[in-house]
Amino acid sequence: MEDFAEFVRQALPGLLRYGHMLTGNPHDAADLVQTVLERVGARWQTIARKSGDPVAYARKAMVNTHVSRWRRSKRESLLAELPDTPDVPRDDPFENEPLWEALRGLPPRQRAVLVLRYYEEMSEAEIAAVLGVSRGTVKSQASKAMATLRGRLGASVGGV
Amino acid sequence: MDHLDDDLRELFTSDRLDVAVRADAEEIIVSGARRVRRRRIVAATASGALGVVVAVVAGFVLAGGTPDAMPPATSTTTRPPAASSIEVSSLPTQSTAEAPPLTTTPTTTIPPKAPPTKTRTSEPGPPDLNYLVLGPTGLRSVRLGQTLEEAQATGMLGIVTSTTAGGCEVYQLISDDRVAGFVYISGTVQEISADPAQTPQGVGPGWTLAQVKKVYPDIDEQAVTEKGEAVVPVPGNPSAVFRLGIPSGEVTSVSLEVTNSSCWS
Repeated sequence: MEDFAEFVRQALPGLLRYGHMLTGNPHDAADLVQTVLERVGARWQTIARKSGDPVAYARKAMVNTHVSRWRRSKRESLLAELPDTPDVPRDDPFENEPLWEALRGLPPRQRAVLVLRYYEEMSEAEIAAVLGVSRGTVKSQASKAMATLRGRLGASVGGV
Repeated sequence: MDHLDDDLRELFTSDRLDVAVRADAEEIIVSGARRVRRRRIVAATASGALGVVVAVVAGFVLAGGTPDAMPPATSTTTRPPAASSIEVSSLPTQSTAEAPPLTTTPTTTIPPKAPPTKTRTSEPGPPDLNYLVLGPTGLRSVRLGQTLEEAQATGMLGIVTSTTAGGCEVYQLISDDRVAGFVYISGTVQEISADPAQTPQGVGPGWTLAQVKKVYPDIDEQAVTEKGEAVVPVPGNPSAVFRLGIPSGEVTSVSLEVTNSSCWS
């Protein structure tokens, strides 16, 4: 567990950033990172030995957890009952940034595909492997996401 | 042509994505991991009468050992369960029952030549749930494979809450006040999730992974770690699976789906 604590100390800032891009806000980022790292820590010996790169493993687990069904259905139920408003107003460093707003509007998996492609610089095949879907799905999700972003960005500046 | 690719790259490397880390974030996570680990190995019960077993497990977790080489831990002060989280979020788990305030590990409880086994004789049984039963084919009168019309005729479908779950429409499940849930329909009923609910085998919220594994031995432990969920076959219905959400060591959600459900794809 010493090992794990050290891993957490070193990896935390990067994983929180990663969570921020996946989820679109620091609150959900922290929640996602905590959930995933607790699970990783519970199997740390195995993961540290077998994964080769625990940070990459944690990222992959974050992506999959974020797009997982239990988490999405949790959202569904929240949406059904509560308006989607933040509890506390907070400083948003991305306030009024059209690209960030547009990204936040994408479904989790589409956003994940963009993060894997433009942040991790993964190939379609690698993304498919991480998400456990076909390359065709990756391709279609990516182009859907890009089209949506272009549409929203175009609309936000008056349409081009 | 536009520069969307470059804009995305730039955005993803922006330092505005930094999230402030709480000073005690690491401790929260480490103790959370211990809690998950305990749940994986020792069944949590509300009785809290598991002091010794929990202490032993917590001991080797803290010492970073494996079950095969369980060194007696020396200083194992366990924090109470984290009630807060890294930055601004609240904990997605409820952790009251299984968190005895441990002090030091009683090293004498470790047998001199303890066989390397994860199954402990003192492990208590899983919680005896008394929820509505989901499966093997449906929940009460709503069943997998029904057409939209058939499902609506049961009177158990409420409003459409979403049309974004892959190719499926999501209807609120209306039953009675014991349960809330959703019915996913794409032509026919693809999935039913209900909360709280139990499988016909009794598995439901509060069961630990270890307990689930005894009932559904095929459960993919790696999937649980990587995604917080896993599917298991439904006894008596080869064309369906149960999807168990196990985000932090314990079952929190149960859904019944046709194999290869067209939602979420």
